[in-house]
Amino acid sequence: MDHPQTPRILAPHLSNFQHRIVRVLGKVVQLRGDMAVIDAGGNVDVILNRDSHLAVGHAVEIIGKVDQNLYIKVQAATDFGTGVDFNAVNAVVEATHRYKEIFYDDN
Amino acid sequence: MAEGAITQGAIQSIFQASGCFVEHPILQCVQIKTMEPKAGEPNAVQRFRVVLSDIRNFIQTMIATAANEIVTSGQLKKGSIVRLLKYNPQRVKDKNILIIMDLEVLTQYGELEKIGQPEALESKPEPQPAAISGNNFYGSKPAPAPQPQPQRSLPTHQSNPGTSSHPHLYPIEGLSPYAHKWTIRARCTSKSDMKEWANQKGSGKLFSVNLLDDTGEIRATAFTEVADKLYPIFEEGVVYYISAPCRVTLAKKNFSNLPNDYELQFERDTEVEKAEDQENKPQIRFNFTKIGDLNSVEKDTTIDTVGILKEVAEVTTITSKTTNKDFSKRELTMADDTQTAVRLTIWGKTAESFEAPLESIIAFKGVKVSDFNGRSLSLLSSGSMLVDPDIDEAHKLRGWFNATDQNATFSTYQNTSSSGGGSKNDAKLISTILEEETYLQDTPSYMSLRASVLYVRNTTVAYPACSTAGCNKKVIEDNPGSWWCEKCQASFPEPNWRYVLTFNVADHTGTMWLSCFDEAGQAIVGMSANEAMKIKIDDEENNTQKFMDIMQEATCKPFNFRVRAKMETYNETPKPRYQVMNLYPLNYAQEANKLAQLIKQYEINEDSLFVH
Repeated sequence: MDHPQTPRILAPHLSNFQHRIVRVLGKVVQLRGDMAVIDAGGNVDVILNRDSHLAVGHAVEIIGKVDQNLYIKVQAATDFGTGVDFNAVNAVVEATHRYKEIFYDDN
Repeated sequence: MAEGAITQGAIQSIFQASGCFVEHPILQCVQIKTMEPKAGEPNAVQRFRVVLSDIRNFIQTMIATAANEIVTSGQLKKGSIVRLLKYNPQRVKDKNILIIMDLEVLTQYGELEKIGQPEALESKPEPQPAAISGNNFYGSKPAPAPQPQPQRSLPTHQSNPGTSSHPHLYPIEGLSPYAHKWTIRARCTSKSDMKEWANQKGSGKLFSVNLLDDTGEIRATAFTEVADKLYPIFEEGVVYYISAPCRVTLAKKNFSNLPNDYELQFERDTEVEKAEDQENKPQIRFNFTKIGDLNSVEKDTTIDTVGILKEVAEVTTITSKTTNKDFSKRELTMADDTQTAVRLTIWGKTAESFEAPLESIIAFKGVKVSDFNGRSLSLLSSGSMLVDPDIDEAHKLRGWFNATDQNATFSTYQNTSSSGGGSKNDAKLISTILEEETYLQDTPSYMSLRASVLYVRNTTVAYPACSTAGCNKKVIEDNPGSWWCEKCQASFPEPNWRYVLTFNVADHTGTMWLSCFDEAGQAIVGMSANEAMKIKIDDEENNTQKFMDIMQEATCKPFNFRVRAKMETYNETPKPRYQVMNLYPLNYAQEANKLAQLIKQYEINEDSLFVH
């Protein structure tokens, strides 16, 4: 199976990655039926699929596609629990973009 | 009569562009003051300062030494009417003065009372009435305590930025042993208690103060009698004028927390006056060091720091072994936006009366860095503490703290279990350790290392030890089923197996062999040595591979190792031995932050090389 590239991003990067598949690690803020809001350097709206089970207050990694209005359509969601240091997460994302040649193709 | 002779308005016109409207103005001498030369001055001659009036204004003048005779002969007297023959107007530190090279006394008028009510020429009124104004000796103002110094207000080029009535106003930054006559205007930021001592040389007492102005800070000490005289004068928070004589000496850094090369020693004649104008108080200045940067600060340096109070311990009393005196101390944990926390100890009254609530911002001035437990801080007796101060750095921290997760973990400078006696705590890479092998000496060196276990040597993993608590001596199986301990002189049916592992670890720079004992061994293998040995014995009987599996399972685990490196000699060849003193599981958040910091360092270097 070929896995597509999924660069890690935070909320501010959403507009640069429209129509691309991305990975976001954030804290679940709100659940609204089949939508949720997670906090990843800012609030991100995600459209859940049937398999995703999110818990408020937990960290979750979303892999999904960024759509026109900057929502992410979730393809896979992994619960990371509560022991996540978000400063470390943000540092990773920043490093990713600083040295993006290592991490993803930016055509 | 004389009134008509005097050239009224002459003084003012002298200082206008067109010059005086008469060539030789006639003025009245209203005051004469003698200035004794200061010992050691190059031209040790008496000089005379004369105040002249043209009825409308008065002005200070200096008689050029060449014309001294007119005063010394008694010709020029207070009240005399004089005609200026040769003179030079000068402006010295925003005061207009005249240098008189030649003048003649119009004796026909004799000596008269001061005519009229002349005013000072300047638009600036004479300085504050009650303050000591050294320059202005005109009039009958009694000079309150400290007498004005004999001034040398010669029209030489003064480099002092004196803005007030005090001449020679120096910035604290400019003080040096080479400055002769100086005055500083500074705030007393802290005053120590009177300290007394007695040693073979005799007894004495002293107290010291820290003085602050806009340019810097300096410490000043007074001894014995001077201490008695000055102690009641100084108050914290009050601005003073301090004038020479006062010795400027090299600072004794071990007593002071201030970054000044020099310090002051008050003498009997040093002048200390409370400043009338208490406005423009120089603010306490901090030069903060981020808690995250502490590792790069040398131990025993004095720094300032600010952080949020994360933890407060109870006050404890400890007795100093050397002096048998009791000290109260309290440990605080401070954290800041570099995601690091550090222990800070406060002493004495500050510790006892500490009341700041958790999560308040506290700024510390005069904190000593020590390498106890990695890095820790101690508030010096000359230091100070401000809770929730109104300074930018504090507001920034408050903003940061409110924004981040309140329970964010901070990496600390402490080892998670206290290492014996504050040994060095460098986190090293395997490549560095191997490079430094040649530097190993007989004394062991300590370091930290983060690596993963690659392989555990499974030939001998444990030794049989005495079962008596605390005794780990190897026991000998003299009879089957009976293990004998020499030390305890006792026999045991079963030994207590203890790990003595040799294993290979790796990080991204290389591999190396480490050895460890039971405690660490258990963490690596995941079971007690007794159990492991049991399985080994079972294997031999049942021809199973369980033991090997267990050894395999022990691999690929990362740990933080605390390693002692020592040079040992085996059969005449020296070989470095690396022993694990302690091992800790990884705190991933902490490690991630450490790595993030490392990455940031690349950024700094990059920017300096490339232009984006």
